Amino acid sequence: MMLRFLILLAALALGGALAPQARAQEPLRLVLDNPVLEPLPFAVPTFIVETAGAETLAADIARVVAEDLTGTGLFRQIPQSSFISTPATFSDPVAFADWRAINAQALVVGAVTQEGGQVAVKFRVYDVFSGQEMGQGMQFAGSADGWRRMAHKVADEVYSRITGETGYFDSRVVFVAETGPKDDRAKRLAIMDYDGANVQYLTDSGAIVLAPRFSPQGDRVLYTSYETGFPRINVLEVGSLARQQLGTAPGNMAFSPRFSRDGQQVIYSLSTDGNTDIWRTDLATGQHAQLTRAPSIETAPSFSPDGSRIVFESDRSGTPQLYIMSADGGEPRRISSGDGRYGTPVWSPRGDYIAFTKQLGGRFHIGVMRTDGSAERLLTASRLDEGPTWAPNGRVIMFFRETEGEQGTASLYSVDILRGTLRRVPTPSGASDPSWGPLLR
Amino acid sequence: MSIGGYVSGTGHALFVLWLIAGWGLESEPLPFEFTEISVISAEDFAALSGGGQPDLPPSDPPAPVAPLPFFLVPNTPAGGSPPVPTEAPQATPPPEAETPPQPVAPTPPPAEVVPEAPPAPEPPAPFVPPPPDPSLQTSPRPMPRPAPRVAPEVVAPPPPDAQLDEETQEATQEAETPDVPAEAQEEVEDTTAPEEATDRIVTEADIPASAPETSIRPPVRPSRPAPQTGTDDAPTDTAAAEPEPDDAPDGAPDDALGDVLDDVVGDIADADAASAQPPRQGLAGGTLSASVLDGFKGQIRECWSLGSVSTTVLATRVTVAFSLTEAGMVDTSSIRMIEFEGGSQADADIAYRAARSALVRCQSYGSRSGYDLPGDQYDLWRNVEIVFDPSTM
Repeated sequence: MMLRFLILLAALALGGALAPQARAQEPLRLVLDNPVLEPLPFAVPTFIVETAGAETLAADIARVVAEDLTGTGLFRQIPQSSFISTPATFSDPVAFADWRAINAQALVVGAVTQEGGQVAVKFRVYDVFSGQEMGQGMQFAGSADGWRRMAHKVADEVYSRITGETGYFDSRVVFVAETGPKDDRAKRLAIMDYDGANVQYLTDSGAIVLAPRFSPQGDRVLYTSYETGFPRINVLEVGSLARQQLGTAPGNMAFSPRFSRDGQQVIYSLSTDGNTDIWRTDLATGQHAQLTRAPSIETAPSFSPDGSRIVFESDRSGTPQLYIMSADGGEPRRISSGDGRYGTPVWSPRGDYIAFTKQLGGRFHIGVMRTDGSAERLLTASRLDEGPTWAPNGRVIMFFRETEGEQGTASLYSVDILRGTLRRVPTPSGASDPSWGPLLR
Repeated sequence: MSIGGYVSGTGHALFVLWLIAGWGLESEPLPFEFTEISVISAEDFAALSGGGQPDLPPSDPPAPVAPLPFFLVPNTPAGGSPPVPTEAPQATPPPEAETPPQPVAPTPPPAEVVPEAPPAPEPPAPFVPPPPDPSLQTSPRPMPRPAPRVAPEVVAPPPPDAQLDEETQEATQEAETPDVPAEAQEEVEDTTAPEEATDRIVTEADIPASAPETSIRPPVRPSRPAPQTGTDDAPTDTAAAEPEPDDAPDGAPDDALGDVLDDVVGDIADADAASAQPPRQGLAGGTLSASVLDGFKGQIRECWSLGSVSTTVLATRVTVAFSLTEAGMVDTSSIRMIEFEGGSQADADIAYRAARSALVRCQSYGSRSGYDLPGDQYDLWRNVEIVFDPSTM
């Protein structure tokens, strides 16, 4: 008993001695909300040349990396004229104080080696204010002709390490290239890098083509062609340009196709006897299934990422609205509830949003809503905005905008769904109906 | 020589031989030196070896560089680049020679690939000027946030302030017809903003917290009555004078413990009372005023930018602890993330990085050299914990 008493006494005495200090060091607790949403300032010095003759390549790669990041609207490039110092070699210690002085929060240091036709690019990303590297260094190698892809790869990695989500720079877009006046416009399929570079044509202008849709694997393209005088769905192999007509169910017109996530099924609209419904065709078995049976027009179907549901457009309520049904059909549920006419829904690859076109008050909008129809937000507005397509990371939407008048042309734009940053995608001619392919490997 | 002499001689001889032979002269092993070795992760090792380079002067030798992961990038992605459609793929006719007003080469060569001359730096992709619709305007500046407390409908402007007339007018009688009918008066009342609405966006940061940020110090314990005598019975008498706990099984030891506890509590209270009264106590006393707290948060918020993070990071709350010097400068070595919620570890790492960057950058923001906090209340803000909560955006 006495021992217990003494131990308790000592503990209490010790606690009494320490308590005032503990109380005095009790931290001040605050809650901070409402952060600012400013682009992150970053610096990309010209990549270091490790072999003679790679000077141009080093500058070009650094430029493309910077353009990729800046083009998102999430980053702001600090001009090289502001740099206090630049690393001479890839292994040089980073003078963080010099970069802090110009308020660079992220720093990308890279180096280029070119031997013959082979190029190697390596890089590191630094958090300037903590003086630490974000992730580990990485290097890519390939042929000199593929330097843009390597630059996009570097930019994707930098984007991912800073934002926490995958990038979308090393990806391609298939679209309809348009030339000529509106009443005699030639249309053909084309493919390009996400930023408008490396445009190549997939078809000639002998027949009108519409609404190309990349397969989730990026190896095939569905599109609607008027070669026969009626709209028919074709499948085109990107690598060989081989194409064939999709064997759909019997009908007058087949259009608005889209792949399932596994690329094994195609859903589309089929018009028979003046009525348009949604059908599904299994590419392996050739079997068809009618998913809707309504006297109204059902079109523009799009699978959810898990393939379990389909969002589509229907005017069964009197005006075009958005509905969701099971991938096997069944009773649809309307999700759009606002004023105006909704169309061309596309499910985000993340599964969280549905992009759509909305016509309201004589203007067209590209917008997004949750899959239950809530949280609708309109991102754009113009005389004609149409054809939304998601970037592989589900953060950006590309669409086309058509200007007014006889000589009005269609152009591609991209918009960040969170920031609303709008950017025009340069193309050598008019462009419409974009379809964003997957991130390349 | 006596027997003792023989015995002694023999013993000494044996001893000398034993010394010469060196038996048992092995030195004791030296004590081992123990060195604490910490196990570090691969990431930490990479950071030490090649990643987190210290801010060294240029003359320092370069840090060893860890080997970089190597990835091959094919020039053409899976599926390959499409061939130039100069010939008809399968049965399709060859592409016509396009003669549109805008000539389009069938395969425009990428200008950037030309190796002969370094191409002029291309201007960055032009940004589209924001359309006239305000909803489309893009600005690098912070966008106005939703204002749930702003009246959903436009409210009529308030009537102009009453002007004093220079001429005194006679008061009208109540019996006369009022200028404004009763219905119209009701309409005027309807146009006012709802009670819960306000003309400005009120955020959590603007509302002084109802709960105190720091607890009120307990008052000093009243002095205990001095013992009447110096005899050993005095404590017992004092304890007996006080109300005895009902559940006390036996009296004497618990009474002694109770006294000890009372003493300790009293010491704590006394010490707290002393610490709650710093030598240069400010007007706010033992707590930081709401304006000081708002000002402190506002200084940090200036640099807390989440404009380049994912949506999942925007839904992640991180609690960051750090210490400040008396000059209001952050002890960067003390910054640490205590906890997070709402996202993954990777999301929390990015959210923490943004918070850390904000703390470090904004202490020297503009002409500031350290956070502006009352120096006479340093004990109250020496250690800080901030919950960075972007979920309210």
